[in-house]
Amino acid sequence: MNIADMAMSTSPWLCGEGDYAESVISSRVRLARNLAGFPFAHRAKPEELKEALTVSRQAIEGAGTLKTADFMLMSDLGDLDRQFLVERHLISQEHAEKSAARAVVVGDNEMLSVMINEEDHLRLQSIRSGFQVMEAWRIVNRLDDEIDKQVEYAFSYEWGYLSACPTNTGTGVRASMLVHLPALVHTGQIDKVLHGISQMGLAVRGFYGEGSEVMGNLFQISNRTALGTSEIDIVQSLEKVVKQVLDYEGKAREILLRDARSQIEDKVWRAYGILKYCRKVAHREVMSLTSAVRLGLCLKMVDSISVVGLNSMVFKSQPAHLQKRFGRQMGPSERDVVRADTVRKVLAEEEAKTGTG
Amino acid sequence: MLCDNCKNEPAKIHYKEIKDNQVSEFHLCEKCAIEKGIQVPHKKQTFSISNILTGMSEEAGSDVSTCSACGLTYKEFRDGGRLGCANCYEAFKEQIKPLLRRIHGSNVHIGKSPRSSQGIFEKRREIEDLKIELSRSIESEDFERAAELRDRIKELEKQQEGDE
Repeated sequence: MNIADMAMSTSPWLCGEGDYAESVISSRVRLARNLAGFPFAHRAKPEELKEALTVSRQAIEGAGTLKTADFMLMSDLGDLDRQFLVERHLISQEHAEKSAARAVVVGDNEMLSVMINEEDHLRLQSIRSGFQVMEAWRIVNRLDDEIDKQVEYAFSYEWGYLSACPTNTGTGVRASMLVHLPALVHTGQIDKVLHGISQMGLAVRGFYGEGSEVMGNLFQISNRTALGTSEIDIVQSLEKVVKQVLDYEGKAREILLRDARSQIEDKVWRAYGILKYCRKVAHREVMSLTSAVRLGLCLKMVDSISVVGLNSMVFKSQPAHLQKRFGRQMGPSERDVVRADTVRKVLAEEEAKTGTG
Repeated sequence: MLCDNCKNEPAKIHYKEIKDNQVSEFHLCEKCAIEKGIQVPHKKQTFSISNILTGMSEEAGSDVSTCSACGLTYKEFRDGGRLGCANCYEAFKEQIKPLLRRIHGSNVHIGKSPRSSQGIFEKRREIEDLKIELSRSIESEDFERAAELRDRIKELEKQQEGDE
């Protein structure tokens, strides 16, 4: 599938499947791996980087799991295409900014991908819809085994998989879930909860991962350490913490319903109204409006839109997504108009499906 | 929304203050917030290895040590936070060991290992476990068991030398 086709569809991992899918948007596990015998990507000479790319590509293509995957060389892609892949959560901002001998391989309906020559030679990523982080680990682990049969990884008996950044050395695992926590934000308890999460040795990041900000009350919770704990233990402790956080969120929702039902209902329906009738809207605003409606959906105040519909609004509203879909470069002001059209259309389709509106 | 204070820059810091049971809300730009002595959260929470490293006691002269494989100096690593190649982990072993412990709370890998090293890896684990058991049996004066363990460790270590 090429980028133009991708732009017309929503990522399959936003399908709303999996447990807690109304609150857990997605689960992701990535593995950092390096090839033995090559300097790490930032230290490699251009020809070494090229060779690392060739070796990695062959190994990935030899892996059964990614046999039919698409290989995309960063230098073949324009700025807009790269930005699109960032929005799609398939590459990092850093990967989009550098291009020589860098690539991404995208397979299994975008649910399994590999960045080549980012900070590490290989960054394997598996994303699933909902609370499915163990499943994501299982799938990325299988791909890792397949690649391991064809290349020799940089590995130490003492310290595990060696990474360019010592924070990733060990298992090379970063497991995360993107969680919607509106009630904890509204009741002002979020700081306390985030503090608790960091005390448990986990980290909280924004919508686009490391270094990005939180939008639409969506928090990415992930492990912070990678050495001294097995992969399964990392995944299980993330599961445990996220369940706990969801439990707090549930309690906060009960409090909102008990003490501020009319205010919440008003907030939800105002947001719904704007999404339905807006003529110009910024991405950040769509994020916060969809957050309110998502809360309304969870609290059974709204039933004319689905989780998938909301997910699709969030993703289709992103700047590069809009420009790819309409096939042209647009400035912020024109994007806001096209975004409003897009959001209204998604909502109208959702209403038609549920027979409401 | 503009900054409450200078009415010039967009407000980026929003906070509530409770004083004498009165809640007041403030919206300030970064500059005014800093002037008022309010802690501004960092835009990017980058994990700075150089900060940790400079905070750690270091052996004199470690700055000049260099990785023989890729030529990275310890100073370059300290400043940039990135190692140059797998061999850097050997070259700067003494400095990296405490660093890893500082970052992860551990400096011994547990978990998956590549297929190529699995046999060796398992053996190494076994030896470590046996050594712990050995010291326990010496403590409890079970010398018969200790002798068995000692022989088993010797045997495994001999095999390991052959493997590596």
